[in-house]
Amino acid sequence: MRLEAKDFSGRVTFITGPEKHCGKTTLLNRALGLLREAGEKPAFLGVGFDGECRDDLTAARKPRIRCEAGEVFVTAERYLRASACLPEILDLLPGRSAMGRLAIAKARRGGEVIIVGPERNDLASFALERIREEGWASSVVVDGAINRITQVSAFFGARFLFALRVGPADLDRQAKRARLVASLACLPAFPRATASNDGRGAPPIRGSENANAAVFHGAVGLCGVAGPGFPARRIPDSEAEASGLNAPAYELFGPLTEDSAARLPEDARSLIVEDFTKVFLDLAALGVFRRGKFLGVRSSVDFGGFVVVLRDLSRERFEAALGDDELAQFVAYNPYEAACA
Amino acid sequence: MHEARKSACSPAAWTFSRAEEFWARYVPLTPYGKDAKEDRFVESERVSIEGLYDETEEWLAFEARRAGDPASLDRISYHLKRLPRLPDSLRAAFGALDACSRDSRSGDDASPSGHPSEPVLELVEIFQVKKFLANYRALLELVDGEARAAFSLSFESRALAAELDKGGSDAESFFIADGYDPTLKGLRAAIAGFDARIAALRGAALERAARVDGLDFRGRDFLVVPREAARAALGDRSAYSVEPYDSAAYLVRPQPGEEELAVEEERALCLREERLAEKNVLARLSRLAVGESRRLQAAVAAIRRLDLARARAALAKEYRLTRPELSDSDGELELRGARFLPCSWDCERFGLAYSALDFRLEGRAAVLFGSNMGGKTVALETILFLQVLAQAGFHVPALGFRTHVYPRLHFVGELRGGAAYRGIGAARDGEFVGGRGSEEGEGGGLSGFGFEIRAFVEAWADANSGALVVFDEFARTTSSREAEAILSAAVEAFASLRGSLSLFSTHFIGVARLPRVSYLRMTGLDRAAASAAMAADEPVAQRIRRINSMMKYSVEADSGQARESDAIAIASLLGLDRGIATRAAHFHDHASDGHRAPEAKDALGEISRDRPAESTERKA
Repeated sequence: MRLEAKDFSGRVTFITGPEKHCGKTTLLNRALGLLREAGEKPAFLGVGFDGECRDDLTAARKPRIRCEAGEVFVTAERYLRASACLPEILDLLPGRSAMGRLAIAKARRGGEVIIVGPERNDLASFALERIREEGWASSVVVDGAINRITQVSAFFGARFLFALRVGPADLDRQAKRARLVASLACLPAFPRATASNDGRGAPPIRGSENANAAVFHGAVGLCGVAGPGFPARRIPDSEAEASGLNAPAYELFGPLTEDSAARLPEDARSLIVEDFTKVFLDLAALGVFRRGKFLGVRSSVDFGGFVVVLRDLSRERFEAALGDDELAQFVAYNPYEAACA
Repeated sequence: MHEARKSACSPAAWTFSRAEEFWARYVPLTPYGKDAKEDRFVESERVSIEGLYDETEEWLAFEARRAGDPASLDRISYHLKRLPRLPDSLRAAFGALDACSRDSRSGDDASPSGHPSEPVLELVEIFQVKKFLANYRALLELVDGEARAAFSLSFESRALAAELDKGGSDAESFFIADGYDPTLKGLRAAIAGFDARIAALRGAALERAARVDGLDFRGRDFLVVPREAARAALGDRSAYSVEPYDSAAYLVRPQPGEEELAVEEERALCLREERLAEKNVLARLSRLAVGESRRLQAAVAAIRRLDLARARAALAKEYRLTRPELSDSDGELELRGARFLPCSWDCERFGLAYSALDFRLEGRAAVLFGSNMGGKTVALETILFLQVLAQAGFHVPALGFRTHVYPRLHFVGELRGGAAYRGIGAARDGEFVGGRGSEEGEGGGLSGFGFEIRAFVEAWADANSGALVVFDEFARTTSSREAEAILSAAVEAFASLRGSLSLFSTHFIGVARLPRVSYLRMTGLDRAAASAAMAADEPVAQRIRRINSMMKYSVEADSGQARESDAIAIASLLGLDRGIATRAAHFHDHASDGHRAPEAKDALGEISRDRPAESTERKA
């Protein structure tokens, strides 16, 4: 796999990764470079604050983000006046971050910028919707927070790329991680058959602060799954079979953890979770779970692949550790390697 | 300001009335309207309330005038949604400026201008002011003269708006444009020139790197180069910075040449001057905005009124609400065809019929009798629901609603779901505590009865200065004799208070019959329908659903004459063992007060059958 402008064009792409210095921001810069070469004026933002020149913990130099005229970015008010790119403010995000109010701005000339993004998924989603709805940019690249793929599901239709930095010392660990992410990202989707939503939803059930929770708990009460407070429902057999699921099938409205997996009825043959970001099992536990039960998702998240930065490691050795030729098709290597030029 | 006033509605009364469920459908669009919604403020002044009704009707009239142009209404909603909150610092700065002006007038040694030399507003705050004005102005163009007059809408900040319009590529966006300062244009032209030179120098360097050294940096500010391929870069440290990447590669970055560094230096000088000029522009724009603060605050107030009126009007249309009639005399209460919307929504969800309520009361106290599931509580909820809405400025779901405005609305009793309202201290904080019997807080250790008495004490204190107090099954947790004694005393005391109205629901028919007190009862079970249901041999679950249709949810005067027991009949319908039901009827008929009607036993005999016992809860 080789990264190209079309991989980012006309869509929202989250770049995420498992830990600090896995190459997310460097990859963001490369994505922006590809889009610029294709004549686009992309938008970009971060999740949280990532503007420091050096990392607080390691003092490692962090990549700068170059912004060209006409491009759109999100930052905190304190960095706007200091920015050399002559920012034009397009909108403000609701509320305040630890760095002050956050603004969506357009660069009126080139310059380097510091991006500060919202910590919360809903605010990231707000910013993305504004950028896309107003037509400020059609291609948006998000420098995501580490180890938080959940943010990808906050914006419908977003794709995510998973950045990995791999060396000899952590080769096995990172290969396992890649296999887990790929397994989850490829879970089959079973969308709800009917989704009636008039924008208001059903009136809340009394006695509960959260209407949805009440519905879920009520559903649990009806089907008798695993005791009170366990947010799951049994999918009617007819509905399950119509969807191609083996009955008894259950839907879990919350994270799938080792604990929640253990609380599922023993006769469960299928389980549907909201999306793959709600699965918190490691590779081994996931394997055990899937040997006994079918696992699917209500909504799938578009997975763009892995971008792998190797240090002191050959591609052949990495792919051997990956142990899956199909999975290797989802791997793009360091886009800064001269050989890739 | 709402923040400084106390809402007329106690948290317990709010909860009991289920006003929150209605509130969830109340959708103001501006941040100011949303703030007001969050206040959940219930008025206690008739003039204010009538003003709110008037504004709702003004908006409804405006919408009617625009019936042929629905798109304009959509555009109004669009602009309301886009209106941002004005920066807090604007109000603070205005306050400081105002104080400074007063000092100046009083001869104190103050700056004659009173203007700060530093910008008091940040770039984003100027943006907020501009976006506010852009949407406010657009909104005004969409409403007619009558609506403008009704909501005091006027656009007077033209000079500020014109100034802010200079900066931005559209009506809402903002940047410090060249036109704000004569030096900016020159500085920015110079910076653009430097940028072009830097770009040309870099382009040439990158072209050379690709052509001579085989390093293609396009779209990348560094490359990871295999060691053997990096010899050229290592050999030209003036063109590249090179650092080890791993054992097999170097990380190579293009280095700016001397000329590029010199241009960068000049550019940096221009940037510093530009920043200074921008700061002066911001200070000037800040002064302009602060000077307009009073008008901006007036615009905010007008917008808030319009937004809330629009949201109330939307509910009035959706739920066919009517304007309440507010009376000067306390103790006047009349509901015709009153719909308790939360209950009607429940009924809709459960596929049950909903009965509207007619209720009329003259006097300062009423006692409402009725059997289990007969609708006493729902009747009280309906009354309080309408009263809360009416005093919050809403039209109400009724064919007619005539009431008095009370300074306080109270509820005394058990809330649904086992939640109890903790009396005195909690009420003052507006705090609601779910559950009962916690050892924490002021009410720790109190029983349900204790909580009730504390809530009573608070309601009593307020009732002296005017209150509507609703008692649901007051004192039901104590013995019937004690409860009847306490209830009788409470009814007597509340009935004597001018300016207050109290409504008591109770099972206890031995409450004293007092002057100036109305005694009412829910009509209750339709015996003929109940008999038919039993005869139909329906499953219990289906029969439970039909109890709703067997109940007559109407209120009638209570003569004080004994009547047959609905409770035993309902228990039978719910599957109570026939033998137990029959014995219960026997005991009821021969109770010591001797007031039981002889036909009760016959009626029961007709309708009771052997059914498995099953507990349930009436939903509507």
